[in-house]
Formats: sequence, structure tokens, C-alpha cells
Amino acid sequence: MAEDVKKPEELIQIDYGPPKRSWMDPTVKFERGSYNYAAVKDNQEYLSLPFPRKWQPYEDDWQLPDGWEEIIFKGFKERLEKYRSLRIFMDICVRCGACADKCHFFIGSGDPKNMPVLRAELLRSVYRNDFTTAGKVLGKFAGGRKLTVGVLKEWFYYFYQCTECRRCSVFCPYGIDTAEITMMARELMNLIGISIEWIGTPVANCFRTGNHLGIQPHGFKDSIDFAVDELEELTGVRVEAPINKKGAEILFVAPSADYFASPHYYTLLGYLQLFHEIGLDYTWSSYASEGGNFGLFHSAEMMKRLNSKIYMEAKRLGVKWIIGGECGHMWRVVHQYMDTLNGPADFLEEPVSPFTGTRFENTRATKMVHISEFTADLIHHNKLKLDPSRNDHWRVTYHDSCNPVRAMGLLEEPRYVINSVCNNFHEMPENTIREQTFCCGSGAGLGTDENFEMRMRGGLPRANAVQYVHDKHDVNILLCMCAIDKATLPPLLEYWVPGVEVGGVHEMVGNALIMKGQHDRPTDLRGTPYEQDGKEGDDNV
Amino acid sequence: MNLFFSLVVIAVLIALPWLLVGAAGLDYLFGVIVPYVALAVFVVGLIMRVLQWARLPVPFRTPTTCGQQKSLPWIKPSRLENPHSTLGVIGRMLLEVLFFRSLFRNTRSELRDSSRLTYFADKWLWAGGLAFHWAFLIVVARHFRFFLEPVPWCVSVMEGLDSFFQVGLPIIYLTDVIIIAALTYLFFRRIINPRLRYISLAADYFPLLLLLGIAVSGVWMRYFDKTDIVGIKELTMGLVTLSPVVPEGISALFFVHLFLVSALLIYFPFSKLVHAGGVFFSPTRNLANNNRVKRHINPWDYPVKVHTYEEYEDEFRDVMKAAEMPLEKE
Amino acid sequence: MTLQELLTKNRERVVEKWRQGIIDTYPVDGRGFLRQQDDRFANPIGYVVREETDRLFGCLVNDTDPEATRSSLDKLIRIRAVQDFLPSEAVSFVLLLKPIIRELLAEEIETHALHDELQTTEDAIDGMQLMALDCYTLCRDRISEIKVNDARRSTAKLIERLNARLAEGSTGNSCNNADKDNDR
Repeated sequence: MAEDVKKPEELIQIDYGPPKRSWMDPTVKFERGSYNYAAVKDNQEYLSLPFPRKWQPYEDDWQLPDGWEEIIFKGFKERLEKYRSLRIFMDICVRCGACADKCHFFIGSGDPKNMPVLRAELLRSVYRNDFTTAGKVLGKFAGGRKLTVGVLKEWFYYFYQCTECRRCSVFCPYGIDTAEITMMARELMNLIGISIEWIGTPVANCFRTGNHLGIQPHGFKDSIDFAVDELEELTGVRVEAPINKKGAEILFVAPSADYFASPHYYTLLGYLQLFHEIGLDYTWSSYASEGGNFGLFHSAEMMKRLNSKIYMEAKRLGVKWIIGGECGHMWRVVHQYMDTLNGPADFLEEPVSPFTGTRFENTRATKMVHISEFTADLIHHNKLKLDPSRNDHWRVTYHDSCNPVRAMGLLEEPRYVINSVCNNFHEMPENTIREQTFCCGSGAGLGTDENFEMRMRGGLPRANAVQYVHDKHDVNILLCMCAIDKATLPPLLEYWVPGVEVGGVHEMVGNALIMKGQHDRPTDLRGTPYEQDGKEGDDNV
Repeated sequence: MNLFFSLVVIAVLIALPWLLVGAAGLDYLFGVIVPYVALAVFVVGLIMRVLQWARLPVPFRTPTTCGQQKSLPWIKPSRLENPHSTLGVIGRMLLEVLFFRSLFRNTRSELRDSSRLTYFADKWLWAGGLAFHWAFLIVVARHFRFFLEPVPWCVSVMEGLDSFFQVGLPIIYLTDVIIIAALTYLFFRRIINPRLRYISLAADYFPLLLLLGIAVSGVWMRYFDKTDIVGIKELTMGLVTLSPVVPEGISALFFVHLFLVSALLIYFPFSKLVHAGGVFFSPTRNLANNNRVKRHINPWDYPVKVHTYEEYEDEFRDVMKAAEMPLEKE
Repeated sequence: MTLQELLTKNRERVVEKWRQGIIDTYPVDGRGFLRQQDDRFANPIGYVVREETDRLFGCLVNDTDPEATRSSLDKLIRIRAVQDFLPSEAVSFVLLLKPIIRELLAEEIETHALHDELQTTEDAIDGMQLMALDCYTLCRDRISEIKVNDARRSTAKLIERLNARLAEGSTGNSCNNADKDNDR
């Protein structure tokens, strides 16, 4: 920022004149707070990725390998032949503009290249130039653009400013999915060693230790044991939480943030309570201790490398089927990719709830059930003793996480659970929830701190809708079923809507669940005492 | 610049037949050869395009789901917005192709009386797009009158319906009005809305102008120029029966119309207009969300380097042992 | 006629011009959207600009509770503080009001000899500008604070547990190798 010192009289002048530039001239300024740091060399090496080096996006020289254009050209060609989606999405966009104002980054920044159509055009222009006759002959008139360092920098800036949330795809008349385009662009950049730290590090950690933070097995066990101790203090009940137990009926896989971060941790307590109360024969795994998969944000290959652990571990432990915890992109991978990548899961059995006898027919092949499907089924069959008034100090709203909604269709299960365990539930406005839900602004590997301002902008549409229910219904907690949400919505709301907390659905289940042999439980799972807290305190029995 | 370029091209496309048919007498070229070539390019080009898409693999099943999944028996699934069966997919595609379902989704909310939230639809783009496409389809179908003898009853019925609100003579077809109105709207929308002007390429203005040119020249012939219909039918029937003749006395305007149509046919397979075929191949719309029910196969799947449990235990055996965790090898 | 009456009479014109000026600080191609889309949820920036400029103008003319002024400024600046603006760019929109009033109402000010009152109003705008600076600084402070909290939260339980175990004198603990030691 130091280099552009302006004269005092310039400072009060605002530029009215519209620049006559077309979007085709690449211009990217790496403003502080608006980009991510480059992937760390050691991690790139550990994962045997090409061209590991030390560089940063704000530097002029990215130390691109010789012949990088050729590498990208070949990679592009290969992907055009491997993915019908890519070819179709490159060919059929008519630039109708329906998607333009649907992106949270565009809404929150006003930057036109954040319109999904233009984000895609960044790649499409190169496609037209290199792979279509019209583009080769007519060049710029046909919308073609040569791949230059400037264009590459633009790719980096804008494809790491897309959270792959698929909201635009809902509105596109041809279903063009910017997430797919962003994934391809990121794969291409990976070919020449361009990736970001917040993807590279969690991926490397996950590959080695099984979870994003790089917690080793004994640390993982320690975390779970600690939660068991704390839960005993809170409820008076000592629960079992087996790890790496062979022959258990069910393997449980949650995002790792659940056992080291807050407010995820209260959801973990909720799981532990629930499984104990119904007497589930299950096990955690230290090797597959991460449901999340940052490989999805890196490349199809990396996604497969990380995801392989879940089935391999299920096989080693000899479980019958798998339950997955509250996570967003994890469910995109599990639902849409896992079976294709690492299946068939023919060594597992078709999931049947041991308590209700319900066959989860919707998971016949993949054999992995979402925790909210599992819990909703239990509640529907009256298998849980619940006291929703224990959540009366919370006035809740629910944030649909992008992936479970737009890549799976998980809408009613969590709502059913919330309505069963909470008395005060208020929905946000209709065009900000369900399939039209707004992203937290930090998904797809962008949830770190160097791009904080970008995240605050991207999350503005979501926060704005929370503000509305906060003002109108006095909502004081935003529930969600996604580890990235739980990590990134608290700072977002701290900035835009102070006074609204973030929590998980199973935290509410945990609060409301009446356990056999419990003591008074004078506090909720967060340790907040019931008596002092309550506006609604008088409702408590 | 993009707009200017498109305008110039259109002007040239109009001037060519106008001048050459009149001055140089190239009736046969514009009446027979160009249309045949155009049709051939269109058919071959489109087939090649579709075949190219069709032979590409779909490695993953990635529908965009816009409604409740089918999971527990007591939760009502959204069969069209999130189809779990082929039938549902067909329904979803029909809604998409016939009624532009996704474009219809554009809703807006507004705060009225300072606290009441009301929703209304922002459906101009949807209405304009739908009006154009349907009108275009009907207009094209009406043209079968020129290619079939006797004129099939369905074409006559359609004409009857189309001229239902009869005003003046010759009968004014509703679709003629609609198609020009819709195209004009779609065109000016691109120019007036700054955001759209920013994203629009020459390839966006050109087809709109081309279609406008076709529609206006057609309408002009029918309502104002009173072209020799008998002569034209003789020509078109000649083309269809592969015994082409170019009768005397057909106006240059007709050749302009025909030439612009030929240009459209040639342009079609190589431009964004292929969305007409491409939409059927869109993997986010044409696949069922039955991912966890039925395994999808990736034809180019290959083995990758994974981190096995054995490698993991080898690295961490000591700490695992110290923490009394179960081990495969002591 | 007093300047207050004059401003009240021309409220809509002045505020509209001011709004335009603020929207024009955004990249040219996003402006149409910010101006046209009036859905509160689809276009929060445009909504805040629309609502708060009018409110601020009201505060200026009617000399209301400074808390109202601060709250409106805060809403505008909270957004601008996380967009790609220099600090001066983020807050200078307040000053924009001066030339707008001067130019739009030049004739009437002349006719009714309101120069002295104009001076007073311009002083009030300067005051508002200073208040805007405060808001900006508070927003940025808040961001730093949140960043620190955020870092703490992401490993909250890890650290809590570590401390608990250390207190017990246990040695087995986990390692965190999320090395974010990039330069700068």
C-alpha cells in the first residue's frame, strides 16, 4: 500500500470516469486480505506434487517452470477429454447473466469478475483461443484470449475466490456449475506447482496423520478421552468412546475440527451422549480420523488419495457400515464421489438401524449414513427421551451448508431434528436458505486468516440474513452442520452481527437428551448455567 | 466494439444477396447452392458436435440438487428438483427444456411497510427467453407449409391457433409479433444493462442480430412486400425434392431472408447456439441423485498413491503403544 | 428560508446524488447491480447505502442524537472496511456531501444568502467525517481482535487439554505442525 501515496486533494476525489477497459485485459492487484498464501514447499514435496518451490502471490516473479504454457495446454486438453462436464460448460454458456448476482463474492464485493459467468469466462476465453476454430481464427472477436502470466494471475486470484458452493448452478438454465470449472482451473494450476497453503498443509497433514491439524494417534485418543471426562463432569454419565476397535458394528467418521476446535467440540459431546444413550456398538478410528477432505479443493486425484482411508479402515476394522458426522464438503465427497473413487464397498452390509430396524435404502451402495438421517430416524421412532426446553435459552436459526444441500439434498432431516430438540426455531428469508442458501464465504480452502477481508465480504450476504432474524426474532444462535461453517461463521458474525453464536445440530440434541443416570445437569454443554441465563429460564423444569 | 463488429457482419450478410442477386443475377447460387451447403454444414456440424459430447466420459455423478433427497420413508422427496430415478430426471429435463425451470427461480424479496417481507418474482429474462424460443419453434414449424405438399393438417391447425386474434389482412400471426418483441428485448437488455454489456461478446450480439434480421425480413415479405408466394413455394419444393429450380420474379428480399437463414445454419454448430443440444448433456441436470444407491463407474479411474494403515502404524507404533491403542503388529 | 428548510426540501435530490457518488467508488461494472437490484438480501451493499445515506442526511439536517449518526456511519463503514479501499477511500464519501450541496443548491443559497448557515453545515460534515474515521478505526481494531479470537478458537480444545495435561504432569501430548511461518 505504501507505494500509492496520493496527494491530499486526490484523496477526496472519487473517480467518476468509467474505465473503458474490457474484461479481457487481465488486471489483478493482490490487495492485502484478498488472496491466500502459496502452498508450503515441504508439503508439496511430501505429497510428491510437481514443481515445489518457495513463492508468494504478491511477488512479481512466480518462478514458473519453463514451458508452463505447454503444461497447462496439455493438462487442459486432457481434462477436456476426460470430463464431459468441462467440455459442455465451456461450449454452451450463452452469457444470459442469470448467475451474475447470485454469487456471494460478487454481492459482497461488487467486483464484476466475481460474477460466476465471468469467473468461468476467465478459463473459457483461453479454451476458445486454444481449442476452437473460431477462436483460433478470430481471436479476440470470438472471445479468445492467450494464456499469459497476467491471465494466470487472474486465474489464481479468482479461482481462489470461489468457494465451490454451486449456488450459481441452481439458477443456470443449463446447470453450468462454477464449482466444476473452479476445480478444473485449480487442477491446471497444480500442474505448475501453484496452490495455496491452506489447502496444501491440511492435505499433507491429513495424508500423514489422518486429520487436518496433524494430530498424531495418541493426541487423537487424548482428545476423545478428554471429551469423555468433560462429559462426565457435565452430565454425571461416563460414556464409552472406543477407538480402533475391531469388530464394532459401525465406524464413525467426523471432521477433525469436532475434537479440537470450538464450537465444534460441543457437537462432539452431543455425538458421544447420543451414541452412549442408545447403546451403539461403534468405534472411532485414529487412522481415518478426518471426514473432511481438502483434496476436493485440490484435485480429483488428491481427493481419492485422502478418501481411500475411510473404506480401507472400515475393511480393516471389520465394521458393518459407516456413519458420518456433521460436515459439509465431506458429504459432497461421500455422497457424490466416494463410491466411484474407492468403492465398491462390497465388504460392508446394507445399513440397518439396530434400534429402529430402518433400512437406509438410500445408502445401499455407499453404505455410509449421515448422522442427521440416523438421528431423525431415532427421533421419529421415539427412541430418544428429549426435553427441548433445555434449549430454551437459545433462539435458533439454521444455516444450510452448501454441499449437503446442493450436492445431496439434505434439507428436512436436520430441520426435523432441530424442531424436535428446540422450541424456538426461526427460518431466515426464503431466498437465503435451502437450495438458495448463501455460503459462509470461506469454503473450498479459503477459511484462513490472510484473506480475512475477502471472507468477510463473501460472508456478508449470509450475515445479512442472520441480521434480519436477529433483529426480528431475537435469534441468538445460528445452527449448522458443517465444520468449516462452525470455524468461519463465528468471526463472520462477530464482525457483522455481534450477539449471535454458532452451534451444531447435535449440540442441541445433546442439550435436550435425557440420559439414564444423569445428575441435575445445571449447565448446558457449553457450561452455561441454566438459572442465571434465562430469559426463558422460568420455562425450565 | 463487440457490438459494432456484429453490426458490420450483419450488414455485409444482408448486402451480399441484395446486391448480387439483383446486379449479377446469381439467383442459382443464393437460391440453391448456398442453402444446400448451409443445410449440409448444419446437419453434419451438429451431429459431429453431439457425437463429440456423447463420446466423452462422465467420470462422476454430480447433479445439482435443488430439493429434498429421497432418504427416510416418511420424508417427502422432491422428485423433480432432486430426482432419484430416471423418470424424475426426464421430468426435470422436460421442465428445464420446455419451461426453463432454472431461470424461473429468480426470486426477489422486498421489505414492505418496514417489517413485512414480501417476495415477488424477477422473471423478465425467463419470460423473454421463453417467449423467443417458443415463438421461434412455432414459426419454424409454420414454414413446413413451404416444404410439404399437401400441407399437413397439424400445420394448418397451428396456423389457425396462431392467428386466433385475427386483426387485419393478411392475417397477423401472434408469433411474428412475439418473436420480434422478444428478440428486441433480449438485444436491448444486453446493451442497456451495464453488467450485461460488460460480459457480452460479439458472439452474443451477432446471433441476436442475425435472428432479428431473419424475423424482420420474413415479416416484411409477408405483410409489406407481398412476395410471390407461388414462386417461392416452387423453389422450396424444388429444394426438398432435390430438383431445384429458381423461378423468375422472386424478390431480392426473399434471397436476403434465405441467405440469413443459411448463415444461421452454418453458424449454429460452431457457436454458443449449440446450447440447444448441449443442455441435454449437462451432468448437473441429466443425472439422478441416487449416488449412494447405485455405484457410478469412472471409465478412466486409475490407482493412486495412498497412505496405508500399515505405513501409518509403522510411523506411529511407539506412541500408539504408549497410549495403549490397539495395534496390528506389536 | 433557512438552509435547513432548503435541505429538507431537496432531501431526495441531494441524497440521490450522494448515493451515486458512493456507488461510483465501486468497480464500474458492478455499479449497475448495486444501483438497480433493490432486494435487501440479494444486494446488501446497495441496501445499506440506500437506507443509511438517507438516515445520515436526516441526522445532519435535524441535528439528531449523535448515536444515530454513529450507527449509520458504522453500517456503511463496516462494509467498506473489508473491501479493497485505502482507509481514506473507505471514509471520504462523507466529504462528498459538501460539493454536492454546494453545486446542487448554489442558486438558492445565493438568493437566500445562506452562506453562513452553509458554513455551519459544512462544519457538521467535517465532524461527521471525523466520526467516520473513528468508526473505521474501530472496525479495523475489531478485525484484529476477531483474528486473534479466531486463531484461538480453531485450537481451543487442543490448548485447553494441553494445559490440563501439563498440569497433571503427563508427557504424552500432540503436536501441531500447521506451520504458517510464511514471510511477511
